[in-house]
Amino acid sequence: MNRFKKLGLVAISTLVLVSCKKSGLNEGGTPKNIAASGNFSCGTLDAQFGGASTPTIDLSLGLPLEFAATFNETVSWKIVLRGQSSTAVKTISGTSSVLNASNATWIGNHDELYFFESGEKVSADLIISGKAGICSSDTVTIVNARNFKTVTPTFMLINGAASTFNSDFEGSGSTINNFHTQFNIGGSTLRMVQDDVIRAPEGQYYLRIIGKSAEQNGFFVGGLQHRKNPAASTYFLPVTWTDPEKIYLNVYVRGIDNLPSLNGQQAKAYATLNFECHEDDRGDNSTAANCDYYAKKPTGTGTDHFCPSSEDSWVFKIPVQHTGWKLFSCKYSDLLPSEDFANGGFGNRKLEPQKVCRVQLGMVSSPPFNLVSIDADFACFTYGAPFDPKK
Amino acid sequence: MRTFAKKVLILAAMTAGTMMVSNAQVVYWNGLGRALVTGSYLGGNILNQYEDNSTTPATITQPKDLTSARKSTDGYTIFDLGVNAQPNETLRASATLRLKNSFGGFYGDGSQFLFRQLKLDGIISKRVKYEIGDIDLELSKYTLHNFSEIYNDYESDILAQRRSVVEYENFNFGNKWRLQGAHLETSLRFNQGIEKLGLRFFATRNRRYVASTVPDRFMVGGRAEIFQSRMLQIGGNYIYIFDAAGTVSSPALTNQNQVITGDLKFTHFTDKVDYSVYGEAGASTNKYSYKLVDSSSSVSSNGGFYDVGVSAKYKPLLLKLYVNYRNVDANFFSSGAQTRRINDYGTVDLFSQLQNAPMALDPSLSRSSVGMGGATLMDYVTDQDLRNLNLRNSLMQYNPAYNNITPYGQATPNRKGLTIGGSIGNNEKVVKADFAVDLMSQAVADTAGASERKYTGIKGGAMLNAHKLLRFEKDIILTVGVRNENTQRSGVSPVDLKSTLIDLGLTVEVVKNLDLLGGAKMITAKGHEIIYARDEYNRIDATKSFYNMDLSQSQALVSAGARYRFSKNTYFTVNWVNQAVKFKDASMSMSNYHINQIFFNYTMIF
Repeated sequence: MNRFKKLGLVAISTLVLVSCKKSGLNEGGTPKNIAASGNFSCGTLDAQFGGASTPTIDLSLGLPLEFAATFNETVSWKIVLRGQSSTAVKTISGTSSVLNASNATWIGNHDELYFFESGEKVSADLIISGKAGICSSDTVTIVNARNFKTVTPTFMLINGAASTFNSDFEGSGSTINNFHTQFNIGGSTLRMVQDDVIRAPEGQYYLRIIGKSAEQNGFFVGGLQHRKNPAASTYFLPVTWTDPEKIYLNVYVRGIDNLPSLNGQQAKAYATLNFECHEDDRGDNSTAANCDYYAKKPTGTGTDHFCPSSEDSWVFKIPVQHTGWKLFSCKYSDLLPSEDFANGGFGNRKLEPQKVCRVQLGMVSSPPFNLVSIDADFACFTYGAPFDPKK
Repeated sequence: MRTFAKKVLILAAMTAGTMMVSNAQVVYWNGLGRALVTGSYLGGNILNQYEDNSTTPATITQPKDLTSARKSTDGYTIFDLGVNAQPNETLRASATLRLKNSFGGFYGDGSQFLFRQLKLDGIISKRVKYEIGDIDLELSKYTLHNFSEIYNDYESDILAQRRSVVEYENFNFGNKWRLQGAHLETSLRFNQGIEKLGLRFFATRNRRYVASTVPDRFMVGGRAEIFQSRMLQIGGNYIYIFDAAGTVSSPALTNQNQVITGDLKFTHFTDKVDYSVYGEAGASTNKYSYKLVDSSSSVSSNGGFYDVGVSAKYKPLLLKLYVNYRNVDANFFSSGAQTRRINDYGTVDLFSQLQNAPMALDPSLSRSSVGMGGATLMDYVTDQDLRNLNLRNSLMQYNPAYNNITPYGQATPNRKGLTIGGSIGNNEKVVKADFAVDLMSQAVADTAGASERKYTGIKGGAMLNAHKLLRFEKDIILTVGVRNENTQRSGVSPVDLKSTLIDLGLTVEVVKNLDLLGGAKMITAKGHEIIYARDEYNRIDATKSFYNMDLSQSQALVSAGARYRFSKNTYFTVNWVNQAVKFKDASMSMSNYHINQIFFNYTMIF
């Protein structure tokens, strides 16, 4: 019994230690919410860069926009930033009598779905606890939005640092045709520009796959595939990304509202997006001589590292059943093996993310033979945690 | 000579395989290396002399144990090398070769070299996938399912890690049974009506004959599944396990067990909530035939079941709620689903003999005997030989303290009632938790004149990723799980049994890749239950004596240690383990004991 008591004490002590927080106080040790008194007077909110007032900000430099204001008492406040075009939102909050670079900065991130866009005006509204309405406002124009595409030790778009044909579908010359392969078996793969009805979560453009499968089974409609060239000596993911439990696939997918029409027929809500990674299990180039799949293809069929008949495909299935844009993430270790035994379903059955030589975004119709459509944007890989644009 | 011939044969096979490689597409390797050492110490009242000190003449005595071992050291080194040769894209041959060196068996003495696993698999016409050899099979929970022996959903990492060693040794991969045979699988797509039809068929030999008396035992079965769309799936399962009487000249008792079930799942998807209706129903026939020289007899029983439920899943919070109702007939028997993976009263490896008497002379003094409470929590997670690998044709004995509501899994016969449950979160969130409440009873009374037993069970647990809450880079994970059962029967042959199982766990990553681990598993059982013997026809035999089990016992399994992770699949761990068994009844307190153990384990998976 003593042993149980000791164990219980240790457990409780540990719980207390790791969860200890002063009640009623925020992390800075100051009270959580202080409302303005009747004597409160609101200072002027000023957007600044490097200590100087600025009407514009280049967030791609990695340096923050600062806000300045002075109050005659300590209050709880928040600054709500709204993109006038993108409808992106970011809220900064705190409790103090002064706003400055130590407590009111913005690095270009956002709280909700949409990313801030280059060239748009952003309104900054200062709201004080206990005081109705907006206390003070300022407006700043984003010359360049924060660059979420920069390759870091924990983030990359499908094609790394490439500014063209990458999975944000932005950039000059970045058209769908620049992706290595398009599968349009009855479908079309398009680069769509946003409009008032459908906005891209990030940037101006997004991917649309639309059509009715022309396959015998009516299942696979079309999509995009990116491959490493046969001569390439490296694969898609960094060599340090070795743990399938820590690698995440992320993509924004739009739901079943406002489904488009094609040839007078409206698409049905039966689409599934398959975000696939194909592994070069053997670590070699596939040829007609060593790969049964290519041996049965017409002469001259382009080959690469992947042999569909004897190497693994791993699939992140996203059935589209929601409304609006939504960010989907999946751990590499949770990917499903390909159901097609002869196409990615008969490899060594080992998760080897360092050997990913193809990445594919494909759409299937379930039930088959339906006109279906998927909009997708910002497909990316992260390491350590799912993609979080709030950070 | 035979060993030499075996080695030559294996070497020849490997050479042939290597030659095949020169023309083959690929050979790849996988496997596991492990070194494991334990040092154990037995202590407690069980070893000491005991005398009743009451004023009446002493009637309870226990002599000092002079012969049982107090200490034990054990361990081994194993290397499982998996060779996978794929000569073409329709065939793959996989073999796992094991080299084992038991602790103390150095310099080749006591080394073993054997085939642990052999399988051929491949694809026929790009449509049909086949496996032959050592295969892992599973169907539904009522047909072929290797259920967990105890509630361990929120078991601590340190004990789960220990359990994983035992499960690996016994091929307990998920809820599949390791069998020898063949398995075919295909799926067909359609132009209209339904999206896909999945078909599976398997055939295995579950038991090899013993000359003249014990026939071969085979199993055939399969599943057909119609995937109409992601909203509707309908399936059917069939399994037939039978003794082939003609394989021996004088078969005594033979058995044929057939189970057929149908299942359905309908899901309605919305933006935020998915609603599902699901269920399975089926029937079984079980026949025993007894043949003597000039006479024969047979006993048959038929039973059925149905299990239906509804669920709702609120996707933004990963919150799921469900309600199930099931009714499993007392005569429903499914060898593939009701066979237990642990023999609660089987022979244990560690300190099996107690109280001066070799087990062979007095099995009741074995540490895992009924009178001693059976296998302990420590045996469950450490004893590699306590596990059962064979499908049984009758219900096995079980310890009601560990699981009295579903001792034979979800397919436990003679049960009806509601299960209400819910879950929230997943392993990636700050909190993951779930609970289930069983409000069940027996379908029919098992004793003449008695009423049905009432079962109430509550189980649940939570995992807290404290590091996500505190925004620490290193892991701090707490787990807690509780399972409480209450069995009641009033009137004739009363029953009153309460048991509570608690799991606690803590994992703290103190520096990169170095974890401190702690865990505890505690069970208390108090009350009275009646365990009936079953005859050779799997019937409760009212003429045989039953076991009036009076339980007043508590066990505590506590472990603490450290683990260094060289990589995701390679680690070294050192644990201290303590198992205490206490009988609260004064007349049994002389049997209290404890085992202290130090455990070293290096494991590498590649």
